[in-house]
Amino acid sequence: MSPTVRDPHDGGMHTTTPVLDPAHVVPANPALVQARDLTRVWGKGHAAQIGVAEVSLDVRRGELLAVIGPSGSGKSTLGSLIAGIDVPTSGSLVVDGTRIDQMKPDRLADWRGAHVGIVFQQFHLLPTLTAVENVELALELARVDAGRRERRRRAIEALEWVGLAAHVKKLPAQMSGGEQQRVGIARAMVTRPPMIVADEPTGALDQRNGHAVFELLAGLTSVGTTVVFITHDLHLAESADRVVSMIDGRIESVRGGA
Amino acid sequence: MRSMLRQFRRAPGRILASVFALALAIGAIGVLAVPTVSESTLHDAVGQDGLADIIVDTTPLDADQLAAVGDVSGVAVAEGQAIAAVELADGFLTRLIGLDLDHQTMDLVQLEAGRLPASEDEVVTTAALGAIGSHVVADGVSYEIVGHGSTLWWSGDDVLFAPFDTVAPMTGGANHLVVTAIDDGSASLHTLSDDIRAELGETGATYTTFPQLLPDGSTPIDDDIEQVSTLIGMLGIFAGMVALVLLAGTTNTLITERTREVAVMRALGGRSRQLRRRLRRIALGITAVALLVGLPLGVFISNYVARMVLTEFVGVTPSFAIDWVVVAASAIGALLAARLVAARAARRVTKLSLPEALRDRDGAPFGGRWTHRLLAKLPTGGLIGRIAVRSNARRPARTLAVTTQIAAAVAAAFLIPTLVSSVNDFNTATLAPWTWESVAIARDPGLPIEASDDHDRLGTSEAGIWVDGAIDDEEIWVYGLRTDSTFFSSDVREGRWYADTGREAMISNGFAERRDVAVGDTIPLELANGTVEYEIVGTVDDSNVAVYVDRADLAADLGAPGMANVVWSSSESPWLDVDAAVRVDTAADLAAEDEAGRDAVVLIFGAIGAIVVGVSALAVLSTMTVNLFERRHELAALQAIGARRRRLRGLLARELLPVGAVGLVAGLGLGALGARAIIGSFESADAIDIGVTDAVVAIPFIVAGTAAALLLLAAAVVRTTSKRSIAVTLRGAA
Ligand SMILES: Nc1ncnc2c1ncn2[C@@H]1O[C@H](COP(=O)(O)OP(=O)(O)OP(=O)(O)O)[C@@H](O)[C@H]1O
Ligand SMILES: [Mg+2]
Repeated sequence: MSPTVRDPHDGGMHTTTPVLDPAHVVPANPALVQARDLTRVWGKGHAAQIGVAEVSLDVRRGELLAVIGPSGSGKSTLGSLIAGIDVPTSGSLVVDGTRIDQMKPDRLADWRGAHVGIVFQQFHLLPTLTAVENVELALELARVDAGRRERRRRAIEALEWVGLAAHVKKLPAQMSGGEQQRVGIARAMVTRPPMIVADEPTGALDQRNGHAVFELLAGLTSVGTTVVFITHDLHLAESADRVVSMIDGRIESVRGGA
Repeated sequence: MRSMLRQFRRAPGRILASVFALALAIGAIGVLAVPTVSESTLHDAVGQDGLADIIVDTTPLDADQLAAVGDVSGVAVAEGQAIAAVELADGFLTRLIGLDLDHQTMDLVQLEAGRLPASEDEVVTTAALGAIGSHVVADGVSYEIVGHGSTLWWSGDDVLFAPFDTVAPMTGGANHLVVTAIDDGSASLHTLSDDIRAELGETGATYTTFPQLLPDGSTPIDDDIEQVSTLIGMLGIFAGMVALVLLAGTTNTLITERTREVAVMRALGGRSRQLRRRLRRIALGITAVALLVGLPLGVFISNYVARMVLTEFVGVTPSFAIDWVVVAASAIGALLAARLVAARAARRVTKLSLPEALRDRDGAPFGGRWTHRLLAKLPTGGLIGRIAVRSNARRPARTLAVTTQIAAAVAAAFLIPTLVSSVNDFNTATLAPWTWESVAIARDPGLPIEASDDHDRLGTSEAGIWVDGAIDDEEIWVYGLRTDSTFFSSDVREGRWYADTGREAMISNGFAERRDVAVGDTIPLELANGTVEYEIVGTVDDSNVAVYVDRADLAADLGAPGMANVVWSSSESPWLDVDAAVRVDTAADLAAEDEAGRDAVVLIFGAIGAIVVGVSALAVLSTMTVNLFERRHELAALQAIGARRRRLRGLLARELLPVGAVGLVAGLGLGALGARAIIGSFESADAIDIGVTDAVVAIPFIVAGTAAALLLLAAAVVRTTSKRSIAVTLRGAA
């Protein structure tokens, strides 16, 4: 079963509230993410393991950016840095006008809740929460200003959007991989963050499910959400606005766009 | 061994915590060895010392009387010692013990330093009374200290040992008779003791205390030691149970967390049997390492506690001993338990359907049981709260283990103050009916009642009799008082105060209830020199085991009409006009003594309690560490979607606090029951009514302490988990 792709704005609610707050709509710099000389290494000296080395990259508002490259080339490392779940060893990282490379853990947590949705290859749903509860949790943690009923309504709406209307009360263990990943996407987009980072979200899925997931993420760009999409699937990458190709922790080329 | 090392490298902290907690638990079982260790020390001492089988304090005996006792059939050896009460220059009242040092076979003085006295002006004593070579003045006579040492009988007391001829002139002969019997069985000693009593009676000697019997090579404090040991043993069993829960929990987790690894190996063609054997080996390896640390620790703990018990109660410093039975039993027990649990867990892990096992990270999928599905349908409380409740339900065995561990710690923490308050209340209650400030105890044959009443120039005084007796073989204090005594004032619960007409007695209420004695009954009261009958006319609430009778009646019964052996006084330092008094105990002295006794109990149980609390705390810590290790992805995912560390702390607190609350309630109940069991055992061993006073004051502290410890634990683990980068945690394979 593949979900029908609809405009996430379909629900009346979405049109009444702007997806991005006004400050973000008229930015000084059109780039949402500005990475400069971003480096992440583990260990020191000879034993040092390089994740990414001196990567500079701009991610534009509302674009679908695909990141490709061979295994170990630093795609996940870059994605984690941009998503704020890892901290660079050096370099600067500005996302949506905020420097996040030197933020304290708790402020960074708040920032993540409000500004980024993350989709993992391994889903990482909370095993003890049902699908709808998992999605609600993101709303709660992002401190979305809405009552409990409202949060639940939005969560159900997000699940409907990913085509899981019939599965809202299921636990992760009772769902297939593709279904779990769609819950993951619902969780990432329900807070309407300006950016979604997805690290091989289709990696654990078959082609059909993978394609559906990709379509869902691509659909989000239509409402202005920026999507960073890490993949091994060159065919999917072709459909992106731009494609960043990495090798040995560096950016080899950037294709597409103007 | 190789897999063990790999194991260790994978999660050193976790393995170390398990091994250490396990080791401590195994070590705590060591307290079971305390009785053996103590007894072996005591029996060594008995062997060296030549402790008598029957010990009697009498009026002075001459050589003929002694010889007569020696001729009683069944007596192997009878020796006379002379014991005089003396006052040292600083006012310290003690005893000068005259021994026939060249011929004696019993109560041999064990020297720590120096030599035995060779002349009448030389003594052996403890270091507390002076250095070797210095002099000690007793009743105005100066003696040179030539050695330091004591006998088992007198160990713990600062007394002086001198040649018999030094003391005999003071006492008028041997007044302390020690006897070894040919057959030292309990029954034959009783018969022999009666024969000796009859023989002594015929020769005209009297005595007011019962002969003391030490059958089968026992020592006077054997009973005390055994009782304390039993209690310690109970705590040992408790510690053992904590250890078992811990062992089972650790083993289970060690294996369960390999579910996926095992599934992969099965998928690659690994045979279940081999995999099971491998898993069992890992569990046994960790237990073996824990034993390596735990057994020596147990030997140390048992010796440490035994030393404490013996020095506190006996004044003997024990030598090092090992109870091999306990060592072997705890080793075999631990290995067997580990094997049993490991086998079960391994079977479960290898039987799980492959797809399920491969998909799941930690072998405990949520949603598999009806309880999970039910909980998932109950959307009560906040989301974080739901995660907390369901996570506890996801691992019921672990939740139960943590609850038990908390309960164990709380029980120990509640039991100790309850023991203290119970003993305190009991001490206060036993002294409550008595209003004297001091009691002077007279030397045999006592002092004339008429001459002793109202002789204290500093206050009022009253002569009385205080001896031990027995009713149907149960020991009881016998007090002979004036009918209008002003020093004993207890409420009469039933009946009335005794009168001085005919043999009337009041009896302790607790004793009356226990022995089913009622007002109006006539009881046979066994005194040192025979059995007499008294009619019970009243019962009193005195928290004691005592019978109160008219002093004139009692004096006559004891064969010394008109004589008394104690003088109670309203003054702390009475000035008595009689020179027969040997020792003056003030009420304050006795209270201090009670307190010292209580402190000893507190010290010993406090130490064991601390061990139990420590083991439980470590066990909780270790269980929680494993728990959080398993759930690291979950916690990292929470952080990734915007949870602050405070949220994680909140989540863990919500998981731990309800568990803590249940553990707390169970623990308080368990502690209260435990205190009752311990006090009950004291009561039945000593035939007294102590009663339990629950230390309610301690409850808020225990509650606060438990909550604080759990919150601190939550904070500490969150700190550790959030040290790693979220990305690193999330990418790590299960
Ligand atoms: N925690 C870590 N410690 C040490 N080295 C690491 C760590 N995480 C990543 N690396 C190294 O950083 C490099 C980049 O890894 P990264 O996961 O970003 O690659 P990737 O492009 O996502 O690969 P894949 O396509 O296989 O997911 C690799 O060489 C990896 O070994
Ligand atoms: Mg990757």
